[in-house]
Amino acid sequence: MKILIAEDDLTSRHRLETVLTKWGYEVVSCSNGKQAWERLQDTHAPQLAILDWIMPEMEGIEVCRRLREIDTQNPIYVILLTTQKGKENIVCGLEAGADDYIIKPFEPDELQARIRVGYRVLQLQEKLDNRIKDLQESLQHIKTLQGILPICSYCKKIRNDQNYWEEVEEYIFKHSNADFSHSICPDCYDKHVKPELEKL
Amino acid sequence: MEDKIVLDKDEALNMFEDDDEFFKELAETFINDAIEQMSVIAEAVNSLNSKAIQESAHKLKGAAANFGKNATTDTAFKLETLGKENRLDEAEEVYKILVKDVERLVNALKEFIE
Repeated sequence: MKILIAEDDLTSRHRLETVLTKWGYEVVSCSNGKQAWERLQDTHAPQLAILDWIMPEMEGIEVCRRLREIDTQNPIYVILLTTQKGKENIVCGLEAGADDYIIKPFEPDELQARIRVGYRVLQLQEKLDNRIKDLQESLQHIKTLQGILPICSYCKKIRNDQNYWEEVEEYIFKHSNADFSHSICPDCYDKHVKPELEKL
Repeated sequence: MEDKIVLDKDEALNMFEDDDEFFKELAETFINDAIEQMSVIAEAVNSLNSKAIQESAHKLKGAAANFGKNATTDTAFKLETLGKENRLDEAEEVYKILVKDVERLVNALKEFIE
């Protein structure tokens, strides 16, 4: 699992990198907020970020605000790591879009526990997203078969969305989970098969 | 002023989960970086730049805090506050105290490494 960290102080960044690596995480390390913002927009960006509040170029809180402006099904989980204490600062950080907040210098046990909470949230988010996609796909099928189907009065072919006439079996097979097993009903047997047999 | 904590080794080690090697490694990082950080702070104080004083003192405070509660974090916080509140007439004096605190912290860390 990848975690992005953004911390301008070398000693604090070194400590974070070492601790996270020891816990088995792959660390993407940044020394300012602007760098973090750019890395978080990569296609395979880490889904969890630990951001220092006060940094040069761009503050961690500004990175949070920008991340929350993005319309996505998989928002990045952000932990603000900072020396800023006090309720007002905590509220300000969370309202800017942070998911969690830890006061520096961090306690290793606390940080590890909060990262685990973050991953639980990300997993739930991913499951929910997959479930929604499945439901949307199912709804797509139901909608297609519930709508008005243009069918030929004679040959019973159905006109599809590309304005092409398809055999009814082919159309239903494509737009639902149903399949066909071919047989002959008694009426058609009398009307079509029997005369042919009598000719032999 | 002499009762200030230069470095509480037990607390510091506790923050590194009693990993001596990791503590020493980070102490070296701090010692090397402190020179650069102090020159940035000196420049900010000399040029009476309140924003630069606030930011550079804040950064040093965070760096020193990795070794537990100590005089450097307290003095850096004072200097940060002076920058934030634009009280530049007191900055020079607090800076001088900070220089001594950092020196003591660096010496204590060096002692621990050796």
